[in-house]
Amino acid sequence: MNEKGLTIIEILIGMTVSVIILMVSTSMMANIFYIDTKSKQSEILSQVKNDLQSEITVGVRWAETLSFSDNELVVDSNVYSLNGGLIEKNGEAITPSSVYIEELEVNDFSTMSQQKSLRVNIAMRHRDFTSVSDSLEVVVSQRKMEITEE
Amino acid sequence: MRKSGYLIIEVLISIVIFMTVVVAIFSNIGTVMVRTERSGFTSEAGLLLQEGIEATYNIFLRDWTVYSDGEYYPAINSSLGEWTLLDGIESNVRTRYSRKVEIETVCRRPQSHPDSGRIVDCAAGEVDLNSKLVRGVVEWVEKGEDKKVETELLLVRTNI
Repeated sequence: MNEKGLTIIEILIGMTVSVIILMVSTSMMANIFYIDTKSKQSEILSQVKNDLQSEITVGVRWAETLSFSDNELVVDSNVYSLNGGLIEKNGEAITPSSVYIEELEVNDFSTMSQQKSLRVNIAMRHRDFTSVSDSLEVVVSQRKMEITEE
Repeated sequence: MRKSGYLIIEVLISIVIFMTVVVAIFSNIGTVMVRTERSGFTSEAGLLLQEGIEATYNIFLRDWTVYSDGEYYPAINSSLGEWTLLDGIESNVRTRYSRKVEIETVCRRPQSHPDSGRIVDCAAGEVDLNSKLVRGVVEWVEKGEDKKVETELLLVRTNI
């Protein structure tokens, strides 16, 4: 009797195992890709948060004049404004186009009018991956500077 | 009689190797995700710390003598719309963190000392009524491990 070749049951088992492995690996690859993409987008938002925190903290802390209105913060001669989902500094975007800034809100909780203490809220999300979002809430107080001439 | 094909043991070994590789990959991804998450917690704690220090700075510009040495936390006086300090430690900040701002008297070497003005322990110096040390502390627990960020700010009153 010639026993070369595969029986139907062997083929079926082989196909079943292959399909299971294919399904598991495809699912895992999709997961890895999704996690990797999401992680990269979150990293971009974190970087934007750090940059904005640094920019606002240094600017406001050592500012001589401060004012703000809806979606706008004026620090000395620099105007920060929210325009088309981007934060602009004197008309030039300082946030990447991949990040959509949803909100720029400024509140003053200072105990005296001469030195402001601002709380700046910025809500953001990734433009393409809308489920990736983050927010920044930074508080910074204007320093009192006295320059004396001798 | 020899039959070509795979033995069950060969198939099992292949599956074990495959699963080991998969587990190794996922374990690495898991580690990266945990690190990213931890970095996010530390960053958020840093912002809370900054809020405490910046609010305290603004409060002390006006109210230098109101707050004695002790533990406080910043809050907004809703009727006045301005920062205030409340006694004690703030807990469950954003469900995770505890926060406090410690106010401490500052002592310095007396004028007669060659190293006058240097900040020292109060047993070895004089109380400087025009200086205060503000220490901000934010703590949280992460996977059973205690975490803490802290910073200090020395306030010096010049408009006496």
